[in-house]
Amino acid sequence: MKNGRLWVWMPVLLLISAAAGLYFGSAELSAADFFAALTFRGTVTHELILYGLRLPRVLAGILAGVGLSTAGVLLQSVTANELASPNIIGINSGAGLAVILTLTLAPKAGQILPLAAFAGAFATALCILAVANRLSGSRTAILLIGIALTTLLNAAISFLSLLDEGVLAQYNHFTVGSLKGVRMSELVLPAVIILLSFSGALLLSGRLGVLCLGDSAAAALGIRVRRLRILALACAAAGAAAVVSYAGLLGFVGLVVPHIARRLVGDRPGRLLPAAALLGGILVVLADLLGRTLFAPSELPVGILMSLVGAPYFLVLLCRRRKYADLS
Amino acid sequence: MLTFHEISVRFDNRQVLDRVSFSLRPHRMTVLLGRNGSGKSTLLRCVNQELSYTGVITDGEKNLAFLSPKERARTVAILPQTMPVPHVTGWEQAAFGRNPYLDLTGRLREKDREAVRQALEDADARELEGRFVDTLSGGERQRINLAMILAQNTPIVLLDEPTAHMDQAHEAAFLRRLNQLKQRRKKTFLLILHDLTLAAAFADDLVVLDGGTIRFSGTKEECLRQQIIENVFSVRRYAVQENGKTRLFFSAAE
Repeated sequence: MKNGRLWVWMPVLLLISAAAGLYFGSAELSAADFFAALTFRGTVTHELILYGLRLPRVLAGILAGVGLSTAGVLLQSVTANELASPNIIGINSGAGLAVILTLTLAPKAGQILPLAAFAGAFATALCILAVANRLSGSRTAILLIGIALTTLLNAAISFLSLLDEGVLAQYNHFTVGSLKGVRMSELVLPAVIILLSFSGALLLSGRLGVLCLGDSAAAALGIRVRRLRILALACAAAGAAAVVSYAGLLGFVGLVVPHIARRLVGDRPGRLLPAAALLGGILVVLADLLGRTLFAPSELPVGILMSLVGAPYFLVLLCRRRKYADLS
Repeated sequence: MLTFHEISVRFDNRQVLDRVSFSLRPHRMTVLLGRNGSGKSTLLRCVNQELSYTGVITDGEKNLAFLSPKERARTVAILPQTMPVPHVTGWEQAAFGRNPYLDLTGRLREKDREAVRQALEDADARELEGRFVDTLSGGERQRINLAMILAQNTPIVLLDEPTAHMDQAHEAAFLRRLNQLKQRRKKTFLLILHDLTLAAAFADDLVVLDGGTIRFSGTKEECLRQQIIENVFSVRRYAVQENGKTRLFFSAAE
């Protein structure tokens, strides 16, 4: 297989990115200090920097990449639409509304924001599922319901943000998406959910692959199309909501990473999912690394960097595809 | 064998199918004919349990509506009229046909791989297995589609206008291939065709739908004798003698 080597270099690149994420940062560590701290023979400060600050960030980045990319691949597969991603179908807006609602009603309850974000994202996904189940459960239905819900939720967010400027400032911080200050203890539950979502997606991948032939052909091949869509949507929502709960609204990962992965390994979800997960992890870790080293000691939130790099790249990708389409 | 008992379908206030009953005879090629909107594709969608209908579709003693989707897919293979063209290889698409036999992990076993190889062979598509389906011509793509539904390994195969977008040589080659499979693999085919001349050339049995009701169901010879096609489609029949055989052509009446 011509892209067999991809499965070697992608994990290697992820390891290198993770190592770079641990090594580089606003506080400079010499190689000797780094290895000493890595093997628990360094100073308390160095170990704290490595294991207390950088390791959680690197892990958070990898998990965010895996969760959002998995959600993106799943949503794009079940809606047969390459523009589908957690922020398009309302999962992010659901989390946003829950956060701004919490900030408005209980301004001092900052610690429950991740939980609120998760609840909001998941509740939105449940709404989409409930309405899609009442309708045909078709690919267009899910997308349209998501877009309608996004509009509604964004209107509610705008209304609440008008009420209090303080709330608006905090909310903006959440919408940008950042891994700053993430603690290991905050990551345990999201990690479990993200890994479950990824495993569930892999289990569904064989059947999701058949969906590329359309609903009629998939049904004729023994697929319970509606049930598969709903299961995939639930997996996607859980993964994306888990990321939103600690990293805020990281735009673009769920949209762009599946596209890049598709170019490398093709359309089949069985290959696309692990490739997107690895690439997602690499991209978020690298973006976060750049964000905290480019203007150190100041930080650029990973969400801003992802959008700054992701958006132009996405446009290039679209233009290239257009060129292929014109040629064919 | 696949039997339709009193199948009726209503869309809004329109009766699309009205008490349609007929049976497919084993190891024969039945062609379903009808004008546009006569309910041909709707009937196939009923078999695929994609829409609500009254009546019963059975395979022997089994009611298709009570089978699980996988059991149904191991009984009847259906090739819809239109499908998106996926970015997968010919082999990968043909292997989708094994879905009804796969466990939860979706992994192909040696037995499945052998079935896919055989199906590609039967569809004359072995040389296409490594190519991406979205780079194939219409005729090549349809050979991969055929391989996919042959990999399902079902006794009954339904195809909705499988020769649409093919030139005449490819159309005839495709239908000749189905004829060979009918005998060699003991398949029972139900085809929807628009081309009356092709239907007259390749069908063993004909079913003619007109306005959602059955106008005729029986052997091709009987259908031709009763001049059903001429009446339903307002066409004329022409016969040409070639190498001692009579070939029939239909053309719209002036």
